Amino acid sequence: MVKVQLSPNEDSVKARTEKLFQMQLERVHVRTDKLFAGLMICQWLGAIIAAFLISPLAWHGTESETHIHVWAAIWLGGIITAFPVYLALKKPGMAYTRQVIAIGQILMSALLIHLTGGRIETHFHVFGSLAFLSFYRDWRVLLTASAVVAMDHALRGIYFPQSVYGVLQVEPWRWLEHTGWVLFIDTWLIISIRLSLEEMKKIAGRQAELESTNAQVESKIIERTSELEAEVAQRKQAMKEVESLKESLEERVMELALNNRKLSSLANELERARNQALQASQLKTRFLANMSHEIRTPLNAVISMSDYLLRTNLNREQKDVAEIVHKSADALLAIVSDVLDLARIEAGKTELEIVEIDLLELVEESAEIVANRARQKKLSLSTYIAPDVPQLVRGDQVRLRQVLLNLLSNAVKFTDQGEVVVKVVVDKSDKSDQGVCCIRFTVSDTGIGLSEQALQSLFQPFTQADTSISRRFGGSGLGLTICKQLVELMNGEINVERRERGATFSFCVPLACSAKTKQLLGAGSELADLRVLIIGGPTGAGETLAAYVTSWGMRSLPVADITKALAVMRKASAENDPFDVLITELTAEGTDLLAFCESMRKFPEFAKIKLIVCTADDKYGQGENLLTQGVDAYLIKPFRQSRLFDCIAMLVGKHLVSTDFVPPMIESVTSRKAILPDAQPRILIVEDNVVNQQVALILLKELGYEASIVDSGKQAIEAVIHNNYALILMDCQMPDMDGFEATRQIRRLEPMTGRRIPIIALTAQALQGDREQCLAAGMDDYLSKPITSLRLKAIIQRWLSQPIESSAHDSAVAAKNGNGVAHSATSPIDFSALKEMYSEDGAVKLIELFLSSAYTLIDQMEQAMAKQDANEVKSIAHELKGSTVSLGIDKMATLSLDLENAARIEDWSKAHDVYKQLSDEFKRVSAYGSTVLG
Amino acid sequence: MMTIIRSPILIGALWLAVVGFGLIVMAKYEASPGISGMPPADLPQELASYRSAGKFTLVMFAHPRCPCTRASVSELAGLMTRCHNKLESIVCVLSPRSMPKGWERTDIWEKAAGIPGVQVIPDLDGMRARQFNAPTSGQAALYDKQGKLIFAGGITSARGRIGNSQGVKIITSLVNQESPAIEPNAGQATLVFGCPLHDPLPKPR
Repeated sequence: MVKVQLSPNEDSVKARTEKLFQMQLERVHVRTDKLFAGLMICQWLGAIIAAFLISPLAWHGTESETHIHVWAAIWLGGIITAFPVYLALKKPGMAYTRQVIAIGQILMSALLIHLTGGRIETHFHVFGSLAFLSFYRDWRVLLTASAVVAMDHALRGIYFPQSVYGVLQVEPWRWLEHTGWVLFIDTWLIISIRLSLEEMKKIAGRQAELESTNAQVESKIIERTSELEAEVAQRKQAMKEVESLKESLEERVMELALNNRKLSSLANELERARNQALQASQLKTRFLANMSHEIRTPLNAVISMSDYLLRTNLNREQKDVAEIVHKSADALLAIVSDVLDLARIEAGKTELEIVEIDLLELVEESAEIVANRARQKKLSLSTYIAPDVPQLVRGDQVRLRQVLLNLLSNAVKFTDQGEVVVKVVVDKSDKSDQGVCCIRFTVSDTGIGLSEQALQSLFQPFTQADTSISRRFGGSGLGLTICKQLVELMNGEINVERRERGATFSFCVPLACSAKTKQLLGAGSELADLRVLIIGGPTGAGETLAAYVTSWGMRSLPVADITKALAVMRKASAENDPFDVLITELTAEGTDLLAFCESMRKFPEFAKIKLIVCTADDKYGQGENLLTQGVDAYLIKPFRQSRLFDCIAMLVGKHLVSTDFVPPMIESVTSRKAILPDAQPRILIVEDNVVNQQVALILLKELGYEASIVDSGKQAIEAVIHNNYALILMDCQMPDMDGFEATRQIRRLEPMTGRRIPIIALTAQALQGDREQCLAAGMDDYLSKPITSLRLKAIIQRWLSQPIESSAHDSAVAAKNGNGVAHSATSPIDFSALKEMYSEDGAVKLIELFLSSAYTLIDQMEQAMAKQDANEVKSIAHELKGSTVSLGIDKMATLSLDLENAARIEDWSKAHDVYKQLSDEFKRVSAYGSTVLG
Repeated sequence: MMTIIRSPILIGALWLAVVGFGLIVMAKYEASPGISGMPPADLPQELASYRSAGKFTLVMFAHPRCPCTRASVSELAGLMTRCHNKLESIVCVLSPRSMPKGWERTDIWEKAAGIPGVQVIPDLDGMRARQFNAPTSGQAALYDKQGKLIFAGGITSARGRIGNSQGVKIITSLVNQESPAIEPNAGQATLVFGCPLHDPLPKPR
């Protein structure tokens, strides 16, 4: 609300008051003028009537004539009335008008008095006229009227006294008496007029103030209105601008929409390009996989053959050639494996498989793998795992081992002299989340080292320190690249440092601490407080040994050399706290060690000290010599922590053997000897597709296994209850009960049987997540169709730990898989391949089985398509796909998959197209099959 | 010339002059008396039967349709009031035989007849008026208790004028014996204002 400040101007209000007063007075005058005009006309008419009534005729005996009063009323009254009425109508409000009216009114009184014969009542007309004249609120008018009265009486008194006073002789002041009474009336009327005028002035003043206030309010309103108008104008302007902006915005929106369409178009193109790229990538990956497979198969053959050749009687030259062939094939196989690994990683196909890892086991096992090569090069290979490193963590064991092995292999490869040390510590600098710790693996060598330039490009693909390296040491140059990619895949980092001699590669990966715990080595053992003296070799491995020993609760003391060791030992004996065990490295100066042993034996106080020697090489029976020279035990590096612990325990008479320890000879490498079963294991095939049943059966027979077939999950459960199977091959999608549910139920039965049967999933789909789904259901592994002999063999070997002694078979299989048999581009079935894989009889049988089942399926499909039964179509297409994939009928397999997908989304238009193609293709397959079957 | 004519003052002056003239005419008319004559010195015998002993007798002549006579009758009424029980009046109203019957019976007759102490008698063809030498309506003659004329004249101050008049004063004074009687031959004491009672004489050819 707008507050109006009013400050009326007094002068202007006074002026306005006066003006209003005058205006009101003028209005009163005008109104009274008009009133008198009417009154006087009425009076005139009244006078005429009165004359006619009172004195119409003047008589003369019996004769009469119009009385003079009648004429006087008409004419004199008319004259008296005419002029004032004229002025009242024509000049209303003028001062002279009302003065004339006053005179006329009094004269009319005089006339009426005449006409009525001087009746005293008629005299009241005079007073009434005065009162009427006071309507003018002008005292002057009253005075004028009074003056006329006075003059009338005065003149009459002089000239016709009897007409006024009734006598001929009258006193001269007599008219004053009459005039005095008139003035008496005038006085009160004038007072009344004055009061009335004051009232009028007050009213005018109030009206002026009101007007002034109104004017100011109006002014403020106008001002505010103009402001509002200005605001409205501004708002209108703003609205126009908004409209303009809106239009601009709409244009922008349209442009954006256009751009969006363009972007959408581009996105579609990009999507197409991406799909093409992905397709190309998949093709490339598939190609690489195929090529890898195709290359590795003959390579394996070359390696096997050359190995076989080397074991035959060859002359020197032939042997050299065969060795070159063998080594070259080995090298080529390694390169092919690297290329395949890199391709998989770059294609994002590599997924981490998180399992529980025993880090100690992992590191020591990896070291053992390269130990032979290290020994061959007389290298000291040792491992050290810091005591604070969690024993059990969760991570991808395979990838971790792959990286570690690669670094270890490189270290051994590029080191001619000295040592290779593997250390595992917790990276304290990393602030990992609770439950996750960053484990740093460090591989140090005393090899050829790296130049500054080499450091820059070391992790680039196909890059080695320099070209001469490749010539000298061989290799594809992909190892470190793969390591880097794998470490980064595990959210870790890898780096390299130059050392004064050699290099140090390290990688750090975050690993979740496992909820499970493993009993610590030496925890609570009786070896606590055992006193151990450690003589570090030139490589400084003593510190590592001391750390181990200390972590087991023993008291260790590392010394640098033998001389110092002897001094310490003597001192300990003197203090009656002799050492219990002495661990030393077998240095190159072996004679010193022998001399030390001899000198030790000379001192009786040292006789009880058990001497353990760590050696890097046992090639020439050095260990046996040591035992004859007074050494209690020796350990061939790299050795496991547990072996050192067991060795100490054994020597000090505490039989706290932690492993399958065999004293005093300690083997450095554990070989996994297969335990041959008493009887040939039986394998259960759970598969609803008859073709696939036959494929698996044939392959298993070729691999030397007995197999049983059931075609549903329920039958599988029954079979497991009543039979003793070593392994189950389980199809995933089956009617009644699928493979997942069957697996779950079998797993629930196992506590009763007390035996866990490995279950391998068979599925035609190689989709992402299939493996996880299978494992979640309780399956142990995963085998995608088509099943090949090699993959089947590998997976069975993995789970039954039973090597299949069938090199001939391998060769045959290799020949089958990499046979280079031409697959006719026109024939829908690669019969040659089938024949070689399953033998001719098997192949014929499979095709016959396929055709008989496929005829039925195609018929069922036609009916399902007619009814547009999506589930039925999907189910039949899936079954067809399973059969065709197993038999390598690729086009039908692809079309079956397309049809299955179309049915899944109920795209019947596409489904009909695909079905037509599938039908046509089946006709071709059928025709070809008929030809084959004769 | 037109400007002068249109001047309000001039017009006003002219207007005043005309009106003044009219009023003067009117005043003159009112003040102009009729002809009067001397009535007989003794009340005639034929009127004696109308009078009571010991009372004054006023004989007044009236034209039944004269406007001025209404004032005379009014004054008579006042006079009779002032001279209560001392004065009796006989009003002789002109009654010409030539006029329709009842012509004389006007408001004047009725009003006069209504005044206590007043007897109204018709004056056939104005014979009585002629007897009393009264040619003008409103002429009155006062006789004392003995029937002697003591006053003759009008009892209004002007034509049709009601109010103080010299005649009324004199009669009142005489009846109440507040002033001496007028000599019968002393002439008329007051003027008579009224219409002529007799038809005008025919104009000589």
